[in-house]
Amino acid sequence: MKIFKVLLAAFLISGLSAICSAEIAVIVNPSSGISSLSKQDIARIYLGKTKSFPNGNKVVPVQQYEGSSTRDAFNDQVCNKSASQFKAYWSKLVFTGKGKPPEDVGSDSDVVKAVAIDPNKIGYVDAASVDSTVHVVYRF
Amino acid sequence: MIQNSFPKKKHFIMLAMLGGSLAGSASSYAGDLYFSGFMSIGGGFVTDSVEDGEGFEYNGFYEDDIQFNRNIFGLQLTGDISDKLSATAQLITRSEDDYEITAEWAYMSWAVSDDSQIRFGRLRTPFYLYSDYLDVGYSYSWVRPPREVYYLPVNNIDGVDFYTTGTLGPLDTSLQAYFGGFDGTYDYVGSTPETPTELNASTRNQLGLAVTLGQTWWNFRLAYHQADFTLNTDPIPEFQFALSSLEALGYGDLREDIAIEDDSTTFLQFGLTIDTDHFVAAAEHIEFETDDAFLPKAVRDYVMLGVRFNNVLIHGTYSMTEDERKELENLVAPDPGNTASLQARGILAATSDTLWFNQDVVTIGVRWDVTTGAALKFQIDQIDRTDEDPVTMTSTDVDQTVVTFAIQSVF
Repeated sequence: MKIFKVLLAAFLISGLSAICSAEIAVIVNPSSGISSLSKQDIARIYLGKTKSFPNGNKVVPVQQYEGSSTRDAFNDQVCNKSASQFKAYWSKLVFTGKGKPPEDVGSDSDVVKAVAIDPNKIGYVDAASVDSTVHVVYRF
Repeated sequence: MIQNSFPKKKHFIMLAMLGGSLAGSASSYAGDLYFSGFMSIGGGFVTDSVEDGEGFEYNGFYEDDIQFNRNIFGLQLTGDISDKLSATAQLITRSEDDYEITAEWAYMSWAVSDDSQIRFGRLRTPFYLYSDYLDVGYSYSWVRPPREVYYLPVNNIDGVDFYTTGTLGPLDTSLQAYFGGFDGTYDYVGSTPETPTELNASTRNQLGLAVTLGQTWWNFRLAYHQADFTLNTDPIPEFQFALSSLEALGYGDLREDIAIEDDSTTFLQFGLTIDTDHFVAAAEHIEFETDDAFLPKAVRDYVMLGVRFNNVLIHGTYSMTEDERKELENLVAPDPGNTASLQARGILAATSDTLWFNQDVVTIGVRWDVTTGAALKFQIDQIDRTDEDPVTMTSTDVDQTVVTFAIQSVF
């Protein structure tokens, strides 16, 4: 019974945190020529399944540091993977020479900076961090 | 707080710090060096000790006392030589090999395009679904994939491969083709697991093709390989005795039908993996056959299902072997008037039986992701083995229980 209560509490908390969590924006450089992307396009980029934007230009994904709540929410909702699943997924590609994971560039502001100076980069940030140096292609 | 970035990207100066000789030979350009690593610390025990004459060896375990003997540490270094060219080495040290450092991967990779690459050097042979990352326990659910299917002794190839990815409508596809050969050793465990016999194994003209088809949450894989395979079984006393007895009986020329010497060998595999938020599943089927040799044809399968509750994954696996015995005794026609022919048939029948037995294994395991990058695993295997004797038409059933555990990480 006690376990049931703990589980119920855990479900409620996880539900609440999902409701309360801030909106996340996926951003690209304004000169990339990309106006919007689907969730599936973005997931494929972050899972290393494609190395180009739908228009054929090269894409270089960057991600936030491990442990960032934005990163966990992004991996969960866009890639459908928990932090551990995401890491296990990439370890399969890394240790077989079949891919390199997105580069960890840091926090929201670091991602905005990285994307603002490179037309091939894509990143994700808390929507509140978006400024005119980047273009939003997807929001959730 | 130490940040666990994966993999760490360091400027070339790191290489200079790693070793003067390395830096000395390559410091004329400013490439990037990436490194990443993995580790598995673990062990296990059997419930029926072989020493007490009760059980049998399974997956290297034969004592009823806990052995902490499954440690592995791997470090992968990748250096970008140019936009298109990179060099990778994966150095591994294992407790099973007395911590001798070996390079299980060491190759030069040339990116033909964004989606295709050609690699030269030492590679992992892509036999199975999990072959490529067999040593990286963190990437899968079990402590180790089912031994029934993952049993081949030769897991590497020195040669060249081509790897390409693409899409087919909504599906992601990949294709890997390789050619090469390998020289290695295989520890044959006879009746004394403490002192396995080291046998030399080699493949020549080995080539294979592996294709995958899938989406982010499922993946289907089909692979076919062939090679000229040699496994020198002469150091095994029983084998030596069988051959010399046949020779004495006047059937010495049968050696080429029994020994594994440059024999045409094929390997077929297909499998499916599923990984969603809450469920994981995997299934694999393999067939391994060596012509003109005493080895039984291996026909093996497993099915695994798992359920994930946050950071805990509980899984169950059923594995089975349906190996087909080589009927070597049929090489000699029984002639009641010729005792030698009957004796030879007896020896050939016994040789066909040497490695022929079938077993079912039920595995229950837990994986707990303690933190991102580290998982604690616990697993129980229940093995039911049937040893049939086609001469007396009897069969012996034996069982064994193996408990294994490990902490596995990537960094």
